[in-house]
Amino acid sequence: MTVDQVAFRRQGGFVLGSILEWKMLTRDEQAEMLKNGNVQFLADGQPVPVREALVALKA
Amino acid sequence: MELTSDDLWVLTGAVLVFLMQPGFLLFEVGQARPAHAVAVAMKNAIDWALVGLVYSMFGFALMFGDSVGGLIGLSNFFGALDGIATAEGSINPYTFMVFQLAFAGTTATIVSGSLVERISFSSYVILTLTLGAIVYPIVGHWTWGGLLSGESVGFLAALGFYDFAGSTVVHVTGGAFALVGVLMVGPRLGRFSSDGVPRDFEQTNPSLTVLGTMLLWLGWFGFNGASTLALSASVPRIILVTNLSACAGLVGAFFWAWARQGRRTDMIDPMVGGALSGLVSITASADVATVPRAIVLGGVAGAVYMISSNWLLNTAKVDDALNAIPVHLVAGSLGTLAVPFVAPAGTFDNGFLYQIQIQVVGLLASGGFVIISGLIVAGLLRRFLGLRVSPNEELRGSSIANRVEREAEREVLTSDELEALL
Repeated sequence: MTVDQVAFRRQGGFVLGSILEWKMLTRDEQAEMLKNGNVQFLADGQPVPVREALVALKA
Repeated sequence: MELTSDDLWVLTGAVLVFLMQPGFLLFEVGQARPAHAVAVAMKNAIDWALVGLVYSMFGFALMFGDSVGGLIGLSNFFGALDGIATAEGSINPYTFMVFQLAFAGTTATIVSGSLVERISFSSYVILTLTLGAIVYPIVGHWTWGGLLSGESVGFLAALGFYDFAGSTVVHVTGGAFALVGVLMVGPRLGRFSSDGVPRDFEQTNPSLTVLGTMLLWLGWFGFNGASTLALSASVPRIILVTNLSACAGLVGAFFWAWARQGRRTDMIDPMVGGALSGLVSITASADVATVPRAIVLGGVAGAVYMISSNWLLNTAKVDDALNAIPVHLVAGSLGTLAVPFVAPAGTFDNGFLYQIQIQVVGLLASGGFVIISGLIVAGLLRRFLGLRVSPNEELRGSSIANRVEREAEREVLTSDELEALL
């Protein structure tokens, strides 16, 4: 599984971004988004559970 | 003021243009994935209602009110048409408004076809309101301002720019706004594989798309035919060239696809896209085009549709879900630039070469304004509101049942998990 996209939740919808955009966020920014459930990872267009995605990205 | 046969014809034209709205609805629902069919239908209904309100209150005034420097109209807000300048013998101003209202609704609907299945409802509403209340009326004023009084008050019309029924004003405007939307929103999830190869998606019912196309085709007879704003002797010929351009567009795209790709089971896209491209392309010149040249223009538009839609999808990797950009932006541009070529010699006072130049200027000015406006609005929406539905909603549809399930699935991590995973 290759996590290749990320969807960021905004006020009323989502914005699609690349994994590079996710990695460019600070650790605090990433933590804030994850705590609030404001991020969803995707692999080949399919949602991936956040925990699985983070493990895959860390590897 | 008594109504005349001209009023009756233009009101009939408005009804025919309204018929294009269910045409768009069926066209889009037929090609959308089944899980999104209801949402697509709903968006088509809501944009008609919203644009009806904001165009009547504001848009009409910006488009046809007293001109400020040929750039914008600024009178007759809130549907008040008392005192609006009219030429002697012209139709009732309210007849004119009803007809123009139908055009505004058509322009706004063009955008929805590009963004189906992934744009959020709130963002779509804001984009539609912006287009119907501000962007379309301003572009329209430049070319059609003063139409009811018979004076060319818009700066493009004063320069000699010619767009009879809206290849640029309606279709390039809608298509350019759709282009910005598609680029800002991004492709549907899974539309392209990791190596960029497009994937085909299931369609609800392509037969509905064909029925929708036929309704649009019928509606176009009012769109072009009643743009004379009178039941004049030119109306039958306008309807004839409109029809023939669509026929040639369909045939041109069909045989282009057959020759290039071989006979496939899916020939619906070339047929419907080609016919619509033929209709869009003849719209700028339907009152001046000769019959043979209208057929040639339609055939070329059909072939250009195939080339541009393939290029967008396979080379540029742009997911224009229902090919609104090739049909409206590309064929609209083609039709605008073709005006001097399809009209008989001597049609335009300033000469053939000047007319080519001014058609280019009008196209670039109108398209450029729409693109810049679209980038500002869509950019703000992307930054602050978010343009897309959630990935789950996009993949599974937007019914209430799915929405409840979706909320339950929202993953929230604890502090301990974050420590371990980040």
